[in-house]
Amino acid sequence: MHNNEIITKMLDGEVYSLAKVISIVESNSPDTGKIMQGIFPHCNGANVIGITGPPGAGKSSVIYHLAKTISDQSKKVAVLAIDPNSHVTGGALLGDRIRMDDLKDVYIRSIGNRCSMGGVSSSTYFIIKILEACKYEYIFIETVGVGQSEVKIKDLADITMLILAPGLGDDIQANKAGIMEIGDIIVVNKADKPDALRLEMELKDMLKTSQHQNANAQVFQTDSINGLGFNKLVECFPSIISKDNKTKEIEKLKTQYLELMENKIITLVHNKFNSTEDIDETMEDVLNGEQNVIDLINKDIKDIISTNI
Amino acid sequence: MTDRKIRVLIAKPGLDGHDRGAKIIARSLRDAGMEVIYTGLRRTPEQIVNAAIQEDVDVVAVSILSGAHNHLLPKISNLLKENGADDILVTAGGVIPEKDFKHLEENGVQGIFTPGTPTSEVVDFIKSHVEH
Repeated sequence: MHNNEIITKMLDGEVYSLAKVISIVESNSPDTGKIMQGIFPHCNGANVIGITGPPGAGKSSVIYHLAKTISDQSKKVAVLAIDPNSHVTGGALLGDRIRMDDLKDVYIRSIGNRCSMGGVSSSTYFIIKILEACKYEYIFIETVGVGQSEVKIKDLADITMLILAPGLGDDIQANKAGIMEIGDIIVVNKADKPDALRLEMELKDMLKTSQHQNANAQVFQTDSINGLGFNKLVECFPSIISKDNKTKEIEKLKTQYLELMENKIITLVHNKFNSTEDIDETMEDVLNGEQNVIDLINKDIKDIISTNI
Repeated sequence: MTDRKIRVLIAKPGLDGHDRGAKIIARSLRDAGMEVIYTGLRRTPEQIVNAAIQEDVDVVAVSILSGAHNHLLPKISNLLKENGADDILVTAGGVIPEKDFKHLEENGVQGIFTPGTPTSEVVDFIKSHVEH
């Protein structure tokens, strides 16, 4: 099927076409630019909520309850659940959906991060815009639950939510730099566990003396097993989402634009390097003092620019 | 440079609580470079087809040990068709007697794998039937 036809069907609300457009963009197709050019004008704002946190804290279960709460208010909700691809085989087991599958009217899409760093895939921004064009009002993004450096989500989301649970680390963990510095909201999930209150106190204590941008972060308790605390959590969303849509969208695009340029250049550099014949001999020449290493690099970069751009 | 991966939904329909086989297949397909989505136990054909469409998978690989294959598998194929998604390959694995193969194949199931099948056979079947 021709791309234009799929996009028209997608904008008419056909889910299978939406899924196919996401596949095209996600797989880095050369058609991506053209497709996005057609899609951007249809975007008129969605609330993007990024969910991050360590594995096992309950990110998927929290999203399930939030998506259900909002979807029950007759709002259109989508979930992007990102899991890691293997660096060795490129394969992935995408298992977040298992906790959300009975959400009837919610669009759920599992995405492999295609080995990009930062907890989200490099096409996530485009996929968000595609969902926005399809009139989804709330888009939840579940990042790869790796750990302390998964902070890119804050560049994409209007609200960033950090999910923690008691028993995953002591207060020294909480004071480490990285993930703890990004939440607009910090959720202590598994509130049914005895140490939940203690974790909440420690977090509040830490935030009180924090100099970071999230010093005003709000702390909530939720209990996914019994479905408690989610209404209260959803009620605080409007106070966090900034109203100045235009500036916000330009700032988001700027970050993504820069990143896409970086990715493109890195790919070109790797391709050039991997296709260089006699690379071992050249390295030997450098080690023997027969070639100037900086001159070689400059020459390679000139080659990349003249052949690709 | 297109980097399109084969996407497979591993599905367990009906009242069947054993997913060891499904998980082994999921891992084998992952190790063969595919993106594998597992939806969990006791799903209805409607839930499975809904997930397959939302996820734009190339294959729905159904694992079934309950004996209800003659009822559930054609239902999945038909629902895919009704939703314009009959380009998705449907395969089945589990305890399925040979006498039922013909009925299933006539109803949209394109590969049937019984206990003892080497996982490489499943991988090869999917790779040879999915074109990008």
